[in-house]
Amino acid sequence: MKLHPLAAVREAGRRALLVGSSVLFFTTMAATTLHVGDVGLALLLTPVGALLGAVYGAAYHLRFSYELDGGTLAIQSGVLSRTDRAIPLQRVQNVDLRQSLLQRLLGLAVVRVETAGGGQTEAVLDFVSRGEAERLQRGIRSGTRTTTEPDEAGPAPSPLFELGDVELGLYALTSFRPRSVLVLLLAAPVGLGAAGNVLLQAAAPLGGPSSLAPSALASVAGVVLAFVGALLAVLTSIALSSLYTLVGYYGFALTRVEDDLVYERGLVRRYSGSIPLSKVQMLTVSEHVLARRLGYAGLRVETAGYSRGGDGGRGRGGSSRPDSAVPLATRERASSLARSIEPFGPLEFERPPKRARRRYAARYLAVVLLLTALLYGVGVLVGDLAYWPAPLLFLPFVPVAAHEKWVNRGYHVGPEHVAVRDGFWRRTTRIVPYDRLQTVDVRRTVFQRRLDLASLVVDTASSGSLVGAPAVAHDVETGTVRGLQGHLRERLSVLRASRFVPGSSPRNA
Amino acid sequence: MTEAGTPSTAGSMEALHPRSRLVWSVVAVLTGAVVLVVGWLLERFALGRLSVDLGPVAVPALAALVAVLGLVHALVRYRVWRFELQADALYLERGVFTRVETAVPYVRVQHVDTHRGPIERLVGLSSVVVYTAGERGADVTIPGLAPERARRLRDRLRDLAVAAEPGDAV
Repeated sequence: MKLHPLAAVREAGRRALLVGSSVLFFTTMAATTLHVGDVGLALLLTPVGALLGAVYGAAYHLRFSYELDGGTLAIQSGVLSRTDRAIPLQRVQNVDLRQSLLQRLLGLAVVRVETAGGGQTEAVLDFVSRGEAERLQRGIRSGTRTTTEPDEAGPAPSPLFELGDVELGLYALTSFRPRSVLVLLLAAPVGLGAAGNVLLQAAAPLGGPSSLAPSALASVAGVVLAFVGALLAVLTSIALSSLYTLVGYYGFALTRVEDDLVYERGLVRRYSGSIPLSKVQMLTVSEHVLARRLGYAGLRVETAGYSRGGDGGRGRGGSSRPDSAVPLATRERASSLARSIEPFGPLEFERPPKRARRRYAARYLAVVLLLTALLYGVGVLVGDLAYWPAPLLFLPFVPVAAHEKWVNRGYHVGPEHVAVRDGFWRRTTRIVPYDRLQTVDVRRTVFQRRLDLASLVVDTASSGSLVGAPAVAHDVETGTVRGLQGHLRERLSVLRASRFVPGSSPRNA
Repeated sequence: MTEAGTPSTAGSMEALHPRSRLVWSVVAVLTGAVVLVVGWLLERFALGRLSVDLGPVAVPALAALVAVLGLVHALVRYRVWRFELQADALYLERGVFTRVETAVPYVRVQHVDTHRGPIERLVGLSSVVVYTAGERGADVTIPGLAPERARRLRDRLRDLAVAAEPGDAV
């Protein structure tokens, strides 16, 4: 099968533009700085370059083909060096569909196929018609299943979950996209003068300085300015981030299709992806401090697909971060959905021992004192720095912060799962089925050894990236952690042994 | 270490080849040498212009300190490093500052390599690298083994992994 004919036009156009513009750039550079050739020659060579680019783009399209049959997705590509890739469908973890606004209008879609392992997305079909994309997604999914029921395109099942307006709003407010900081950083130099003026005006009523001159910054006014600036930066990035999330997650709906969860989202660009329930590695429940107070939680299902690219998205087609199964729902809803995916019992968390809390307090105290000492040192070197004791204002928060950190940490050992919880600002609970464990570590830093504490690090084959860190039970009694490690190993070997008796697998039940 | 399922008794576990101390010591001395050269270059070309004088002792002293700390680190690291093939998993203990005890279940082993770096080849040692599908710390390295031991360990691990399960280890 070939990609959509319009893909040839896009590919030829893209390559023509790329090659043409670089030829123009380099010949003009050569003419003006090295005095090789002249501008006339540059104008002559540019269309030649563009034509070559277009031919290459068209050739790429003609030489690209894919085939889906016999349990394999086969892709042949490349003009000068040829690649034949065969992906066994049982190994496919995720199949995603993406549509930009233009692609939606024209009824086109990009298909991305992920398997476990590998540094990047294994197959990108950029792009095919919407109908073909859905046929592929269905075909790959039915090939992925171990059971061989006929795949009928019956009436669309009703969604398991739809994101409401309130939830979308709250989710936008409480989810942070690193991309927004990037936008801010890129935009800052452009609007530097304007930003400076806004900053000065915003800080003025609070006693900010009258100018950005260094002399004006070495006083209390400088601190005010720094605070107002930090506040403005945070607010702006939250606003950008919220906007980005609103657009990206508008109309989120989650449906169960056979053994897969399928979601769709997006106002302008549409994303659709599948999460195979037979390949779940870990469930992550995350509760932003604000959402937590209001009784909301989000749920992510980690599978072994997706590359480690993180949110930035390497390669064509953008982000490869795994998507949430439920961006945000009431806590009861989120937890009942989580239990329908992995049936785990009630979670009762065991907190770290009290001496761990003392350790957190000592750590925060050290940070505050160090900052104060640092400012004092700078003051001595530079001259007068009247506000060097300012960090001491944080002293009253030290015990509160230590307590909150302690209170939110914990672990739970269930009959089928181990769960760990951590974090105050965004509390994450990771639930790992015993038969998904990879390596299990006991870690003891110098400080932990002094207090006879240790951390249990449970690695799974999940997606990694920024948020998908391994499940860690921090600061538990060393003896307990060693016992847990032994327990997990035992559970894994028992489960894996029983898995080979046909029909007895807990996952096919 | 008395809990069930963790039959680790540090006494019976295998240590690395004593010569691995030599490898790490060479690395420590080389690091010291790099500090010496970089420090000398900085002193000669950068600090001179800024009319900052560190005196003749500062840079060699710093380099010596780095080398000595590196040597101590190498010796402690050797003393701590232990591994063992247990019933269900490869078990390792290692780490100078952060002590790590890792269990790699045989059912999770994807493949096993032996690997020899340039310094290891000079002193006749070899490493075994065990790969799992885990995301973080997906590969576990046992350094400083006699080549013959490394080969035997690799083959043994491979056999244990195959015997554990013919599945996809995910």
